[in-house]
Amino acid sequence: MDPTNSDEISRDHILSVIDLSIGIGRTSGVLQLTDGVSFDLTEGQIHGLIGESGCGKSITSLAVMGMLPEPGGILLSGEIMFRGNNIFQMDETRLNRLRGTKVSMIFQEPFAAMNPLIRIEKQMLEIFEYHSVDFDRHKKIRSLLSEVGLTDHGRILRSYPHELSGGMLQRIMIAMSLLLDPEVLIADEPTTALDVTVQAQIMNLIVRLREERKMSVLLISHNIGLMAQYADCISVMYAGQVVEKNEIEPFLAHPSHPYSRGLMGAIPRLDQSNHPIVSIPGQVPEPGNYPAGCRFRKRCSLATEQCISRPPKKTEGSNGSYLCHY
Amino acid sequence: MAFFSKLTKDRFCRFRRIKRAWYSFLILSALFILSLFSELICNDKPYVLSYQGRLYFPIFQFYPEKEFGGKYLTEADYVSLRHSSDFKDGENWMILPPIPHNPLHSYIDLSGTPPHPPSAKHLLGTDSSARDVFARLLYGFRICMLFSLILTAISTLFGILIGGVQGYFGGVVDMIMQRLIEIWSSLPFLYVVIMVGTIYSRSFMILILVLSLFQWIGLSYYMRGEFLKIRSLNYVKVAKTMGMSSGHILFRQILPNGLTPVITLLPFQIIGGIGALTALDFLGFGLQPPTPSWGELLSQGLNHLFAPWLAISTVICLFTTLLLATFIGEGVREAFDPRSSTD
Repeated sequence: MDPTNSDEISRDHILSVIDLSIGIGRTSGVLQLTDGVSFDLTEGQIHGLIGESGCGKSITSLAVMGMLPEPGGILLSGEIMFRGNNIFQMDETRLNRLRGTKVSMIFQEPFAAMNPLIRIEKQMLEIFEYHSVDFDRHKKIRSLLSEVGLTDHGRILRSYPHELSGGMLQRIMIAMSLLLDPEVLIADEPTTALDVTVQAQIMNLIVRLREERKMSVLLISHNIGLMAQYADCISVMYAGQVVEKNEIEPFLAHPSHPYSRGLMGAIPRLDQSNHPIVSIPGQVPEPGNYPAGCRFRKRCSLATEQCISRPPKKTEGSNGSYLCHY
Repeated sequence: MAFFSKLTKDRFCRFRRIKRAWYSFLILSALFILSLFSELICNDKPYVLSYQGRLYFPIFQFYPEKEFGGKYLTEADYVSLRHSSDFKDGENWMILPPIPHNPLHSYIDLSGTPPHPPSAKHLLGTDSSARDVFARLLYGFRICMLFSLILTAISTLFGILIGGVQGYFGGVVDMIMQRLIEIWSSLPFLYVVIMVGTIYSRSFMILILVLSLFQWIGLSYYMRGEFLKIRSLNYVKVAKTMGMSSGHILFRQILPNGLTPVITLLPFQIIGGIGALTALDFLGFGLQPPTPSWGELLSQGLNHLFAPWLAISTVICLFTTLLLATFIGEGVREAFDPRSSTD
């Protein structure tokens, strides 16, 4: 697909985040957490959202479900369009109908994502109580459990969360999120809490399900290796902004933003024994403490006078877009 | 049901394994259930009375004095009936409960001045109004326990509700409610009890009402914290992302998981209730006399130091009850300790 042909793209966009700015109300005023975040999800594609902790990835992903941080989350500007409808203009009833059925989400820690007091079967059945469905519920649950690679359904369904392993729970979590056949799956660091071997299984599962179901996936991670392997497009977030956005291959070949290059340099590589691991100096600034001008300049080796004096403008190139003076 | 999940069963089993707590629980419950039938254990009315060939059941039914040769339509006085020559002469008999005393009856015909020391007839002696101390202790225990249980139930409900609302909604709601609670809790509790008791009567229900206005505060702090914590947990977020209603999230997801402090605090709330009622009775602001009450017996004991059986028997009863309840509380806390439930 030709990325410059914008008409072509917007037709396939199932979900668009447009200029999203979210803040949080504090006694001292409004603290801005994300600033003008924009990206699009194309049908059947995996869109990666990458960045260090505290960059606003999770806040953005929860906003896609229509959830603002609690307490005191404020939508400052922007919209999230799902199939042409603005999520922030929906009332609670419509939002609840959207959640789970159209957009669903899997979380980082499967142990924390299950109610410890309720059996798996009951937890899955409860989801149906809030959405009318016309298929056999028990059959659906069992077929999904097979789909995510779980056998011995009877035992699993009778178990409490603490009786199962992390990998199993994450599979169950994925099965749960697919119960209502959503069109968009948000995976917020789905493999961070799991063993490396299980990580690959879970990711392959997500990729397979995406292909079978023509589902769009918003994959959130701070692991660029994971992105390189699975994502189709990528958005790099830094300090509440999307600093670079591109398709994955050109991005990996030529990262444009110094931060992206820094992330790439920080991956350990097995094929080059003398390749030094370069870390990015410093830390992500706290919201409200962003430096004037470019937010990355204090950690950037290329920073000059103009990075201090004015914030960079979005540069659209043949290689996607990025937010840098250079 | 979430309330009887495996975890709950595990906790119950663990509680049973803590012998001291489990036996304390059995003893205290047995005593309480027994005390519910105080009328059958300790009463000056007979179970069965045979008078002139007819059978009567005075504990269960009302009979006027006329029935037994008296003049009036008021309830028959079975103590004097028992001793009347008319009754003894005929073919009459009665089966009395093991302790044939009424907690409100004054034995003014006993020799000497009240309080009378323990004797074969009055095992623990009589109080300053010549009423049987054992009977008053037994009925006092029942009132104490009932009072404390009802008080705990009401204040727990309030505590969960208010703390839960604060924790779930957070933000401004929480802030305003917290300030109001702070103002409310700084009201001098004893003065409120005295004033309300003076304006209205010092009845059982009024006392419960006034005490429960204050008792919920401590628990609401715990519930607030619990709800605040659980609200931000992932499974609540998952429920939200699955489009579940806030009612469901509140009652199915958060509440059952937040009940641990309620249950661990329950025995201590009961102890607090017993203590509060006894203290109020001791000070004379509690239940209206002549209601049998431990606090009132204690204050009699203080006023009649030469009659040590009053204070000693009451203190032993109070001490035993509170000790048993404390053991139960300890056991429950241990059984519910989340750090020991990882297995």
